[in-house]
Amino acid sequence: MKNSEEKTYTNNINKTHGFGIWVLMFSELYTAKELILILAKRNVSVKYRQSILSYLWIIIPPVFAVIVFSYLTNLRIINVGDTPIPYLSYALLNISIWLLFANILISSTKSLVDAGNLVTRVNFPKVALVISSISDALLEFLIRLIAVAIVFVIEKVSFGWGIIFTPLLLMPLVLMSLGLGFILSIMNLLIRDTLNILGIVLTMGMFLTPVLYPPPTMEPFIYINMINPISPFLENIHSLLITGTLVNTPLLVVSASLSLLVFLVGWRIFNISLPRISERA
Amino acid sequence: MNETVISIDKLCKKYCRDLKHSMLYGIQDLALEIFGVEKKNQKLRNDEFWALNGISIELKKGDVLGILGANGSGKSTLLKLISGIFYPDSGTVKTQGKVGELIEVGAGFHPMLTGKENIYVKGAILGLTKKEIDSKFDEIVEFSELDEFINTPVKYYSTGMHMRLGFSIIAYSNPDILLIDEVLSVGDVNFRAKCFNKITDLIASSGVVFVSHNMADVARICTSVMVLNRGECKYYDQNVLQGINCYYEESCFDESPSVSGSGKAELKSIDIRSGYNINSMTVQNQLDDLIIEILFNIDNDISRVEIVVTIINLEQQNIIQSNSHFDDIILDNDLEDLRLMVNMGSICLNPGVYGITLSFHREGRGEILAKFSNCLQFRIKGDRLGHAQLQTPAQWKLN
Repeated sequence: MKNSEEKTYTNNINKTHGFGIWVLMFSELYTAKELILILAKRNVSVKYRQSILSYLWIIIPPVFAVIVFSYLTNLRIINVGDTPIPYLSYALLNISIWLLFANILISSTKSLVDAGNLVTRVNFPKVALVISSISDALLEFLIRLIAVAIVFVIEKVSFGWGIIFTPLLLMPLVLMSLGLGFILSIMNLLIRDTLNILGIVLTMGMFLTPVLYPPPTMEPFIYINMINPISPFLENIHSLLITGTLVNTPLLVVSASLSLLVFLVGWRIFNISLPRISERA
Repeated sequence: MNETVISIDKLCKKYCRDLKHSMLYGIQDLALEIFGVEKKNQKLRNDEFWALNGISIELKKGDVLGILGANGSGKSTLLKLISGIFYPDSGTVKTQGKVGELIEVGAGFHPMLTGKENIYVKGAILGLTKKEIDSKFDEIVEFSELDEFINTPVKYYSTGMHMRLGFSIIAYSNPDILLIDEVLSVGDVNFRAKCFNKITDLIASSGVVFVSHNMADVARICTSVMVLNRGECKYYDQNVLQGINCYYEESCFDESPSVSGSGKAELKSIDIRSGYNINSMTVQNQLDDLIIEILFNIDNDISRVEIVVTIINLEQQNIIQSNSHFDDIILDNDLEDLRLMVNMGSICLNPGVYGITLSFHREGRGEILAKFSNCLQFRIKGDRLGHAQLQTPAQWKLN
């Protein structure tokens, strides 16, 4: 019977389980799957209930940003260099992927604070709050892909069969942002500055990452790009789309493993620290 | 069905008064925990105090434990530790089965969602599957009496409606352990009664921990009582009435006397002639006649007064009243100081602490000249202790 679950709480609760804690964490995640789905649906359905343009708001800002940027490029105020595919398609695809990463980070960071007294009043798998918070970002990403597809057709960009494998490259990206989000959500519960700092870091990150310009080829910038864990995903999604091959495979493997590690560590830290932090938040 | 659902052993929990220190300690503790260092040192650090200290509890299905205590005595903290939201600093908490929390029942409602959508979301948070909610949906709506508004966004609900929806969902989530914290105070009289009946139904299949300041409710449903004072357990036993008394004694009722009215009457002294003094508190034996002596002075322009004597309990409720008007007593104001003896007859109040309120009126139940609230406190001593406020001796005869 499901109801006869026994629970024991002590001070050193995390030490008593040893490695078995991972089994517990995965089983908790599994039982929470329905809750995650319901909360995810709630987040999406609530967001645009009181707006007229509703889902258009997902497309308007990035399109606007890209138009301004390409206008500046045309006027030669900014010189971005040659992009592998026409600029508008290139920038719009990149910005969609970047926004997926950034929005997952932002919404997961906010998730615990947004849940308000739910965190300190009811005991339930709180991972569900963080994981379900990414539903917004995912849906927005899918809708932006439609806009990207339209621009691809207009600019007559051809793409190959590699497109079916692109989700495999998005997955580690999502895991990494979620892993960071786990830690940041706890930090935000303790110190509300976290969200503001994150905003600044993300803005800087977008300019350090080849989102609106092609991957750098000059001396100092190459190294910055090499240590940027996001760029391998961006570059490889492009080459998969256009040529159906991967570039810089070792870097990609390192980035993907790092993503998985960040996710697992973030999740574990989240589980250890939430009960300690929520009593002080 | 005599299985133990909660067993708590020497539970301790410390809190920190200062926000900055609290965060610092939190980060320290976390760092230790993440790197797997065992915490042994359980001393209090600067600005810390014990919110709970050495609490042990055993609760079986069918039991109702009442937790009494002043504000800040650790009642809500105890509930949070039982539900596993907070972890103990030392000691263990073991729970068996699903925990239902009737604590701020509206927690988790999204204002933009309709009542119906919120039932599904809250149900999922409480661990119900969609199927289970489907099967209980009609009962929940019927119990909450919100069928007209079930498709209205919750932000348009009144406080009472919020509470009704929240209570209904939790009541139908089949908890093995039910934690109740002062939730029933919001609903109207009808719904309160309905909730109480529902809780009585639930008691049979679950263990209940009941936190309330309403002693009548505690006396009605609890099978045992714990009195907390600043995190320490002062009383823990099956004798609920004794526990309530203990709580009253813990919470010092030194409500200083207050005076209101036009001030045309002056109370010089008041004394209970039928009682005796123990530790500067007048003690009156249960069932003895209560005789009060009052010395007072009324303004000269008033010729006749009426006096009302009221006995109040610790909850400031008026329990017994004697009114000179009803006894057709005429009190002429013809002397400088008037001395009056009032015999209120045999007093069959429950043992405990009570207060006396005196009010002086103009003749014919007129203007209040002066009202001395809680101007004298006394204790009733005796063995007749029961659920009702008055314990009347009766004639019993088998026919």
